[in-house]
Amino acid sequence: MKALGILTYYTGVQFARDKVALFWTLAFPVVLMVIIGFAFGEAGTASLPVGLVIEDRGPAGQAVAQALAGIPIFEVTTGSQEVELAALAEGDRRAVVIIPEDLSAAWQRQEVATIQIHLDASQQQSAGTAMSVVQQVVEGVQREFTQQPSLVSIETHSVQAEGFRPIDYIAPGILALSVAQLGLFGATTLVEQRQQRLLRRLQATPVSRWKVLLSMIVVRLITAFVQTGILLGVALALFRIQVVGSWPAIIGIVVFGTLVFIALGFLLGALAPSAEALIAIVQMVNFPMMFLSGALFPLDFLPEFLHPIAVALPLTYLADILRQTMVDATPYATVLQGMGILLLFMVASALLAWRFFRWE
Amino acid sequence: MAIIEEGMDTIVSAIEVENLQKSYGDLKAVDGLSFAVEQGEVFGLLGPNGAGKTTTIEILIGLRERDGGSVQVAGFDPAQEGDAVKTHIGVQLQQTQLFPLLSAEEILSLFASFYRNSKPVDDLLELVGLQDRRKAKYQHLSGGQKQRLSLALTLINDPELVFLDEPTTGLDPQARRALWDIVEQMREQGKTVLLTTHYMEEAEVLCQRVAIIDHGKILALGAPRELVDEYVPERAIEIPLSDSVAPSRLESLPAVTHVDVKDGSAAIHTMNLRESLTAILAESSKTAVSLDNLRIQRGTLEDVFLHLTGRTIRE
Repeated sequence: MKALGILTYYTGVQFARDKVALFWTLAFPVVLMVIIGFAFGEAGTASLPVGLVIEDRGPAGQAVAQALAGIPIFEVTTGSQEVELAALAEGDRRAVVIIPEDLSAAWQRQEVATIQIHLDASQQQSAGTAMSVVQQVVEGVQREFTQQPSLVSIETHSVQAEGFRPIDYIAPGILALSVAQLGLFGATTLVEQRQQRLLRRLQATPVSRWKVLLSMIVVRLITAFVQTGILLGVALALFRIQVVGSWPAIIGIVVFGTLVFIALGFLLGALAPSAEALIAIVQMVNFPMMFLSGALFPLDFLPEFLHPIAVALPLTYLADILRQTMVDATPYATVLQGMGILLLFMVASALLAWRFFRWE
Repeated sequence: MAIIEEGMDTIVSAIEVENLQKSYGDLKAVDGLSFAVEQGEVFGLLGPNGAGKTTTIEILIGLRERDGGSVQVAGFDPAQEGDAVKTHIGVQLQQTQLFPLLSAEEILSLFASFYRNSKPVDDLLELVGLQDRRKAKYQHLSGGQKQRLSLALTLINDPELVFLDEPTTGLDPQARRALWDIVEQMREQGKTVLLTTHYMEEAEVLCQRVAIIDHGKILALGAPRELVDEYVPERAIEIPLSDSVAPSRLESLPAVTHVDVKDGSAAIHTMNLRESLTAILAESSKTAVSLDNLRIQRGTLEDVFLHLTGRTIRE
């Protein structure tokens, strides 16, 4: 234990003295977020096509329809139930909201009314957003109408009344991206030490390989905490992003994501003959991943033929679950599904890395 | 453990190697090496690059599996009891870079944490003369300072046995001499030292005994002076040439094997120093040849290697 503690301490000291590494892990993500945040954060909203079926011709139905049409990120189309659901099935709508015939009547009687929302299950990201916003809006309208707490039966999670802005999308994406980079570069020290024959020198002492590896992983995790703290601190202070998820859940996902990408990083390290080659390989993975994963902008912006790539990228899943936890109100089952996929990535990478890494 | 009973005393070899074998594919890197290193001895493995020196050291310190033969280091088999061996030895490997962003004293403290018992960092810095550079980052140390630090590291666990693989390769003469002093101090402290080198002079200065290795085999083993006496018993008498002495005249003197003429002086090679020298003195009184710059030269390990292989060691 003493050796592990001291080894971890000195591994951390080295990391803290490496100015270049510090810039890329701690400063660069913040710079990236601030630039993108100021450029696109408030405007240029990606609109979500939402179908609206108004079966209630009373005042409540009108009010809900108006309120939904007033949401900036929604591009509302009104139509019959058949037409709208068909459009949803075609992928032309992210969500279809059906305002029941008895809404006005039910609210007048102070009774609970059920609003149906049909979501496009293949677009969990935007569908989740749509659902949260609709719920928020309908509850707002209902409160005005009835002066009563909730008479609407939808999900209980909600995004804040300001709604969903690009920065709310970008901030978790950049956090995911930084965690991914931190992990992918996680094996560079190990590969450098192999190249400098330092690993061999360490092997000639009684210290075990596990301790050497573990010290590097622990330092990466600590760095991930610091990085998350700085990024979210800036995002909260500068852009006032709305965090709806629980902090323990967010921190847990950051730790988990760091471990997943460290495993991937060690796999790349196992395949790279030298530290220079490793950095080149990581960059080759890193750049496409940045743009094809939906970390920085929704996948809907990408042409259809690139979507299969996104599905194969672990960053897609990490960005999704971080976003789902931080700013969407997504059911835990969906988040767990994403984590399950990442777990598979992690286990497979770790096993392959262990199989192929050469210590000399 | 090899124990030779001598009355009440027991003499234990620090290292015992018996018929050691190691191949890489078709290449036999180590081909049946056998030698023993006694406690408190500085022992040299001497040979050109690729002779199998480093492979041998790496097997002894438990970094490489052997294909055959038996090995005992400080009484342990490195293949079976690697951790036990590692606690008893100090190691300096070839071409190793340490942690570039840590200082000399930080690196020593870090390595100290790997062992149950360790020597004070200050003592080691003083021993290798790095007190003034203790706060300097490794990447800012000179080549000689880096090498001195790596020697200090070999002593961090106060080991009985120290392995040095090419400790002075690539260093300038002054830095090399500084390292020799440190090895000398190790010997004075009673450490057993096994070192490899392809510098014959280094082996002659530092080692009580050397094994000359080529192609994974031991060609000769013994004290440097004994090896020279055995394989190159000739001595060379150097005198300045003058018109009055013809080289052919010198060659006819008793016991002289041949004469090399170079840069105005003659190197008279002899199998019997006394006979040839007496004849030269007699000759000089007849011909008034000046003996002011007369020098007598012994052979070196370099000559031994040349004699054994027909090659110079750095060919």
